[in-house]
Amino acid sequence: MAFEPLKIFEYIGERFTAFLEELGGICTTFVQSVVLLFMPPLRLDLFLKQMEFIGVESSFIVLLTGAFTGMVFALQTSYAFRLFGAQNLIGPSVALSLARELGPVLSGLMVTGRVGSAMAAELGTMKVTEQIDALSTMGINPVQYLVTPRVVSSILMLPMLTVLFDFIGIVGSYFMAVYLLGLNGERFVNDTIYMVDLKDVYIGLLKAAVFGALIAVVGCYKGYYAEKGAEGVGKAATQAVVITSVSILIADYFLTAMLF
Amino acid sequence: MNKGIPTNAKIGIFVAFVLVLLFWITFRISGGSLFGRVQGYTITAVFDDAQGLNTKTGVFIAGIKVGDIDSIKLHDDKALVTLRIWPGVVIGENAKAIIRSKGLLGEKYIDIVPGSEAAAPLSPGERMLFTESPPDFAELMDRLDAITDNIKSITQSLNEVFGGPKGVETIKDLVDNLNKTVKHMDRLVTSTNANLNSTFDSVNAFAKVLKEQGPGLLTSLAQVSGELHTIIAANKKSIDKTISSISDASEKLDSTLANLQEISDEIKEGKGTVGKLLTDEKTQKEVSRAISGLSSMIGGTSRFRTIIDYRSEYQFAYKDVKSYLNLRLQPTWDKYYLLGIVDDPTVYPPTTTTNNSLSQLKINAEIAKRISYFTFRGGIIESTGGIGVDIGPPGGHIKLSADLFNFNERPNPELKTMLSISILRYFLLSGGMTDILNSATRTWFFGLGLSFNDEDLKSVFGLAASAASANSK
Repeated sequence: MAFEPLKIFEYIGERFTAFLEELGGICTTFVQSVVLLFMPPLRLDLFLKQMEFIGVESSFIVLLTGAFTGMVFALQTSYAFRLFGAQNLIGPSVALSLARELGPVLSGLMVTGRVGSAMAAELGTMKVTEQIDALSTMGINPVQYLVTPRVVSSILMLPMLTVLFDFIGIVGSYFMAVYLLGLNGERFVNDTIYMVDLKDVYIGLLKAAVFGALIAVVGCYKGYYAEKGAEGVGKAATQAVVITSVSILIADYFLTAMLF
Repeated sequence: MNKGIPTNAKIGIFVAFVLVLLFWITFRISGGSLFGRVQGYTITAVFDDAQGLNTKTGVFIAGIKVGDIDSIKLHDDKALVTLRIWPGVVIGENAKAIIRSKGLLGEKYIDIVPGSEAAAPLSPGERMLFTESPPDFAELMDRLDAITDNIKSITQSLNEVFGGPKGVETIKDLVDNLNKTVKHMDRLVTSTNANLNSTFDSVNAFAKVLKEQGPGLLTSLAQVSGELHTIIAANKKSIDKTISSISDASEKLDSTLANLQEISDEIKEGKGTVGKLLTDEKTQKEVSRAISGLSSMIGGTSRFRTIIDYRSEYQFAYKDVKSYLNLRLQPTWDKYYLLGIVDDPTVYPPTTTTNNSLSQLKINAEIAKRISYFTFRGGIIESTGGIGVDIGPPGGHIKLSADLFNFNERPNPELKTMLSISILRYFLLSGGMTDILNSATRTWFFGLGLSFNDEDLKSVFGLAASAASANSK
């Protein structure tokens, strides 16, 4: 193939157009799913099924991650605070970072890996096997049937998982500080409560809700518009995870800047 | 799917658990209330500087938390801080709110120092009357700096006094002196004690003697007084006379003394010439001015030495005295100018008549330069040109001189050799031969003189000055 410099511009232009197309598609999907929530029929069992999948079944992995995050965070900060003799700040700093950042972001990433990929794969397979087309022919809106329950469940469940993450993380750091570093437990709890504001927790939960929406919408979009064949399904799953993870981190920055 | 637990129940358990957790967290963080912190009551306090304070910063009384900061606002360039005090805690009207910090780097908190118990409690919304902001950290460091500077200077001066080998010596001296003083005092006390003891002993002995011989002494004393009485009675007349004449004499002495007193009083009051001279202020001023002028003149000339000497030489051949008065001005040790007059009774050619009116007044004006033991002079000697040389140690008491002058008048020029010795500082003894080269007129001579330098003159003037000032008082 001959070297054609102008192809570079063509390539950039194509990628940019594709990006805009995708962004538009994701936004449209989100709006559609939300609008369709308020349109009959309301299939509650679909919602519950998704809630179970996203929330209940993710709780174990979130608890595990949260506990170890809290413990390792307590251990790491203790090294630094010991230099100033300020070990009483371990509890507050762990609790604050969990509530504000680590809780929502890490549970969001965990759920992305577990749920986002599954959604893309599931919807992609349905797309490839033409089940989505079948739903349309049966007079069922495939977005309302497939996407809306996932998005809504995800928005509701992510904050709940974050509460779990925060709690188990603080418990983990308490365990680390009191039983392994030998700090006063009562003091630890009092200082933590003294330093952490309700606002910190609630804003963390709001972030989690946004991340939940991102996970579900991107996952569904990628699956819904998956290309043909098994390869297309795999690609959709991979892309869903990558795009969601990156956008969670970017969104986290902007949310932090706006809300705190 | 799971056989046992239905989906709904699973979700229900999950959501219920999470909600319980969330409520619990909210409850703990908000300090017992689910919806914001609305417990307790608020009071306000105005601080000059609220740096380091935050909402939720604790408010303590005696180290026990009784509330926290609700809000901080700017109010008339000062910080208006609203404190939320927990219910049941009473803060008096005259309590004081102080911003303190936990440790050097620690966070700030508000310490409330309660006032008197009698004070009325602050009701919600009221403002605290007394507040205190902490000093700025930099200001504190500045103050500390100044203090350490002071301490440093003190220790430095102490070090200068007592440090080093010199200081050790000083201390040693001090201790030595102290030791000596104490010893001296000890000795003094001991010796005084001994003296006292001996005195007491003598008194004791005397008392003893008196006790033993008292009666006998008394009788003999009575005897003596009786005898005295008879003698006085016998000579009463003559004794009376003597006493009256003594009285007369003393009266006369009295009047003489009174006269003397009168005279001295008059002098004191400025009557008569002496009195005027001694008491007139103007005279005193003039005298003191003259003295100060004189002393400044002497001071001015003291840059170079001034020597005045007067010498008379007895000339054996002429049986007459030739006198010299010389003023020597010596700006440096090795150079001087000499001005003088000579009263010469000898006449040339010699005559048989000796007439005082023939004596001549001649002048000397010489310049002299000393090189080691030799002083070379040149100029006008006895009103004629001449040269001379003095040989003698500098500042010494002995000097050998030779002068050659008067080259025209006589067959040969006059040559005068002289050995002079200064004795008792002011006196000069001299002897030699003059006009050696002319056999007709040569003669031996012997001289005696006086010599004063400016130091002597100064002390003479100083004496006069002090005498004058003593008079003027």
